[in-house]
Amino acid sequence: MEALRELSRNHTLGNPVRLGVMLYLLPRGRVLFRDLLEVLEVTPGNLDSHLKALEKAGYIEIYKVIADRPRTAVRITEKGVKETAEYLKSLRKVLDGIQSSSE
Amino acid sequence: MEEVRELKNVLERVEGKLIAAGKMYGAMNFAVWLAIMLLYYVMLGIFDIPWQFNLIYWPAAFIVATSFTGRVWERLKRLGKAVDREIEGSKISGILIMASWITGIILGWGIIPRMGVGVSEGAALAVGFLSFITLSIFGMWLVFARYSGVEREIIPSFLIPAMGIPIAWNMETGAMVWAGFTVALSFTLTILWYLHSAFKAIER
Repeated sequence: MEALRELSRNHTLGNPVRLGVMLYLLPRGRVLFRDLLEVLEVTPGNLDSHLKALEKAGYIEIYKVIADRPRTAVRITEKGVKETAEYLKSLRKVLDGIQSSSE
Repeated sequence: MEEVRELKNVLERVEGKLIAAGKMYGAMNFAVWLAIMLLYYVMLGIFDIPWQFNLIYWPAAFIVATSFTGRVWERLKRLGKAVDREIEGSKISGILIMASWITGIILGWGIIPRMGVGVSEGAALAVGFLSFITLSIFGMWLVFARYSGVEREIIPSFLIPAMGIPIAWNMETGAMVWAGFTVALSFTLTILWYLHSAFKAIER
């Protein structure tokens, strides 16, 4: 369990909201800010701070689009795809390790 | 331990949804080609279309469909990375897929109909059309199998047209329409199989 806590603590995606953003983006590529708000059920301020952290890490890009009115959109980067895939792999490995050591 | 099991369960469900998204994109890809082909048949029934129309419709349709396929391909690459089914050498595989379609076009529309195959002119065209679909999609399937993994869902879309070739060969009339329906059936089965796989991945 310590390995799992360590992984979550030391990774940008250790936070469930950030992981949720990346998993929602993976099949879609880009989404509107308001769609993320609806799916993740967080406040705009909370989501904004997590998106800024992901942008700083180079996992996403935040930009403006003209929809029904100017909107904020988010797109996943190549680095974001790679890191999310790596994180999922690490998570699977850690969980498998914990389960096999307890059996 | 209960927590770990629960987390693994969540992770597996997430992966299942990502796999399902990939399967749905596969289905959409075939649905676009099916719609383009069926739209052509619908227009044939409504308008008195000259043969020159083919020179505009099919290149335009090819551009629309390949741009859609390209976008789907990008998404499949992303999803492949996340679920450990990365499409290796995506540039090479993209070129090989294009090569299989170009080979299919040259053989199916250029060479085979001029080889005197079939009992009539319509039969020769139908044999060429079915050969084009068979060769192009079989080539694409081989590339997927080599670089990403075997996509069983694609099998009906080249196997059924291949089985239709000897039947179209002996048709004196209506061979081209019959070939069109055969291809439409094969693509529909592929779409259904993709959707079935998607739901299976979600429910696993």
